[in-house]
Amino acid sequence: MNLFNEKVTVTSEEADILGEKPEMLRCGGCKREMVADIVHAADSICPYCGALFRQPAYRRIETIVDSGSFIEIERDAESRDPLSFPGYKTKIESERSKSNLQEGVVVGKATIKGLRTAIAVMDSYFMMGSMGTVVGEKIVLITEFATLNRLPLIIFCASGGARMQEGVLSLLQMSRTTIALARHSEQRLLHINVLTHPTTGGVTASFAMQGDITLAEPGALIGFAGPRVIQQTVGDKLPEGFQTAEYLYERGLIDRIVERRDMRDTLAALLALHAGSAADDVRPKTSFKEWYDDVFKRNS
Amino acid sequence: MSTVLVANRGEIAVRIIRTCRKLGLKTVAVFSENDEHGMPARLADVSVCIGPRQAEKSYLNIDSILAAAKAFKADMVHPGVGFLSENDAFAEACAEAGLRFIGPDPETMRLLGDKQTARKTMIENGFPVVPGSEGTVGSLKDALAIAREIGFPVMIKAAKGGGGKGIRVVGDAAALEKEFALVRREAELAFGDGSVYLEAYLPEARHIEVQILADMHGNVLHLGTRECTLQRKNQKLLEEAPAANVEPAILEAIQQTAVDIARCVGYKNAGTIEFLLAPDGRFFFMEMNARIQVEHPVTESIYGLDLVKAQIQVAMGHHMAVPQEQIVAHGHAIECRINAEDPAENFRPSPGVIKSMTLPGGSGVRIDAGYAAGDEISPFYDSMVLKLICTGDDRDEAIRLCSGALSELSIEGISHNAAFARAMLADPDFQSGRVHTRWIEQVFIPRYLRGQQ
Amino acid sequence: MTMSSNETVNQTPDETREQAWIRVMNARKENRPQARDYIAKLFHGVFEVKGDRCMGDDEAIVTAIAWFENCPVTVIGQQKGHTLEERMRCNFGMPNPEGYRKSMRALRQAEKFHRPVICLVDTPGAFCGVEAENKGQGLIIAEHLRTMATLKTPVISIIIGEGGSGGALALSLADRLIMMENSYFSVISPEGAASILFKDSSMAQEAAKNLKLTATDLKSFGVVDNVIREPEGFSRFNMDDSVEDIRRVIRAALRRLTRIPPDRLVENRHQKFLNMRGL
Repeated sequence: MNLFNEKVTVTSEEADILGEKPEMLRCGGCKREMVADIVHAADSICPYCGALFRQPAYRRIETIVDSGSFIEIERDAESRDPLSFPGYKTKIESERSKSNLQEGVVVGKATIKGLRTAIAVMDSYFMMGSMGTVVGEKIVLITEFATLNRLPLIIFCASGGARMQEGVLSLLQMSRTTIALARHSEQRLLHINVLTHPTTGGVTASFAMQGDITLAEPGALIGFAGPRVIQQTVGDKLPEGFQTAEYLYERGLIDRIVERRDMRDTLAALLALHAGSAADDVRPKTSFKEWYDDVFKRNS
Repeated sequence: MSTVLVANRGEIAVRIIRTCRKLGLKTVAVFSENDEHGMPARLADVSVCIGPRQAEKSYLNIDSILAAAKAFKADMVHPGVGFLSENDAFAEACAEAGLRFIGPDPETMRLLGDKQTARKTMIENGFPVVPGSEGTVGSLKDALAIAREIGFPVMIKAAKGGGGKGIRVVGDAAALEKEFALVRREAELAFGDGSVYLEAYLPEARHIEVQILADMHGNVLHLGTRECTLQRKNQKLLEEAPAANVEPAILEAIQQTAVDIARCVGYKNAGTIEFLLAPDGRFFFMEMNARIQVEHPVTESIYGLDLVKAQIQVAMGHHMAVPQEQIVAHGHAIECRINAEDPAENFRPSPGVIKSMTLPGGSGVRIDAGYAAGDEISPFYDSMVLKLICTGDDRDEAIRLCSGALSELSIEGISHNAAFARAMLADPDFQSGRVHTRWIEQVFIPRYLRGQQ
Repeated sequence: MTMSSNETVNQTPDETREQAWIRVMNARKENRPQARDYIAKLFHGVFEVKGDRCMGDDEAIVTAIAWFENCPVTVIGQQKGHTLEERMRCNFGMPNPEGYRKSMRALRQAEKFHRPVICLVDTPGAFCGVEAENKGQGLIIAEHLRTMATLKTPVISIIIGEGGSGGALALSLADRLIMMENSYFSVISPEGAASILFKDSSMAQEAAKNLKLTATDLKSFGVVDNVIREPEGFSRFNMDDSVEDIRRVIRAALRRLTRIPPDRLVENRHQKFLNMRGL
């Protein structure tokens, strides 16, 4: 019996909708292909085998900080293309159009279980997480903000190395971030690094290895030189598990390997342990705007 | 509107996909890692894994399901039964994501999902409800006072419970004292909310429910009654349509009350209102389920319609055009739920791989199966293998047809309750309608086990 | 050709681009002066300190205490090697973690005794072998940078040849950065850039043009303070004029830097780098 006036009709264009395949990812663990958005909706963990995918920065922040507590700064910072490197500007445009990421790192302040912290999360989906002047400057800025406001700093590191298109100026960011963090450390403030897959090159050789506490995600590739280069240099096969977080942990380079589901709790526990070391009442708090304008001596 | 995402698994997912195919709609099946090779994944146009086998990471994972809908450009979502089908947050999230949720509004779901507020609403609007506490019961002291007022035995029920879970019957004050805190703790663990309320326990009551269908334009129809009295541990085993051995006047009153209730809460799409019918003919509102029910095929059989199709059409905004008087049932239908369990071993679940299946057929015989030979009944989800629905010109015919079909049914590789169901059909109490909601547990099982020896 | 030091090399941007590869080739020339050559000419009373007090001595890095005129200084140089035997011993100027650790020890000693530090940078890059990774190559460079960042004594770094990426940067966090005219300082080797850009490392010459790695480029970025001219036929046997220029630059820098109180010195160094904001 048909209870309704109307009939169900489906146009042929509508019927073709399923033809378009969505963005897929292949799991490094079980090798299956799966829908990128679904993987990232589940903390970027493979639903089949539990292997970790590289997690987009904004999603990472959502899973770590207290809901609604994250305030971002310098979102729209853009490279001035100091070398006028051919094709660089176009590449940046195309990377920006791929997702809502504007650059290779997202920085700001937030609370984790009520504890205030500054946070920087690198994203290896943006130009392989390469560090150029903008990534360097954003990290310097959030470190300076944390220093002035006596906040701990958590950096999620993920990088393929220094950004070639900005030449020695990319290299310089290693020195600049080192200096900013040294000044932060001088104030007895906590700096935690979380090394995620992959953390290599200039980032490893600077701020990623300068934390008070160094955590890592399981299976993350962490090293200075890339595995291919090393392979070419030595000629032999690389050792089993070379440059994985577990491998570095055995060699005394990492404090703890933390599963994604435990990350928030672990960070909160560390923040709580260090909460007494920086006297909160010593310096006045500033808003981002006041401090920022002061840094750049801008008028509102 | 062309693509439906089926946010469920097993038999109901297959059911929905089949109707979508009939209507020319494309289907997207979502599955947990455990169901990768299941029937829904095989039948749908596209299928995608949304999480590991734990339900809260997959079938209850709203983010993953919405991501799948977005990825495959689904425009409608059918939540099936259980899982997210009565989750108002899911319905809202679908709306926000621009997806048509095949079911009622989130507000209606919220109202009806909390058994306590549903009860209160019914009381406020003058509908008969099972005597019980006004709202949730905070303390044992209050519980004892209310129980004394409404009379023992009473049922302690979890406010956020459902599907027959979170219910305890106590016969006197001493039992109430013993069980009260226990039920609260169980509810806290199972549903995340330890609130409980009290209801009079009506012994020898029958469970009569009414199928409601309402479109988005204010038209409300009822599609007759179903009897679901045969339950074990509050889980239905056998259902019939229409309810038999009930005075027509009472049935008519129940049906009309159901329509009034549906109008009162502004219900849209398909839903079922469950009543308790006391031996003296009084009936009481128990709860309303804001979704399609597992036993919907018996209604479909006697009215000759496709309820899932009707749901989709309601969601598409179509107008119901047939007046109530023209909706006439013919015949009698019985549904047996065949589960992978062993009645001889206290209905212990019997998961495993189905080696082979022989299914009955013929006029008036319908099988809704969620598995085929070679599929695995997993221990992680419910144990229902298939539903057998038999329709005859009258109840006796339906009973004979069903009994015959059950004897033809064979499933190798797992234990199942087909023989138990057949024995039930042959029982004189069943045939004469002298049953109540505790009949299986209190009367039939002992009888059956004795017969087995 | 008469030379005057501290001159910006006057070239058009196009000339600089075209010359990039020539600079790179010159920076890698075999007879180019290396760290030990400069040490012999610039300093006297040189006492070489060896070993990292942990696991070994890396000959890719030379550390020494010496006199610069009448001022005791610490010298840290990256040595590539002139003979094949020396090159093998020095791992072609590619330091292992032991080398950087030795250098850090030298830095701390310099800080303790208020000795200015002079770094001579010349490396294709830090060594990328398995053992180097195992021993924490990345970590040690990070720590080396950290040590230089807060060092309470003047630091002058001179890039005398190849400024190969992080391995060279590790020694370049200084109060003054000087480059020889034909040295280069790059985030990646031209060959490496070529394999990424053109999938062909032999296109290095083309790649070099875009990398802006010459002394002229870095001067224009404001990253380098002085560029030292190299005369025609500059080699380890013909380096005296440039040595004289270097000497003058170091002298002037030391005169100024040693007068600044240590805390102020460190603060200035910080601001120097932090102020390179927009670039």
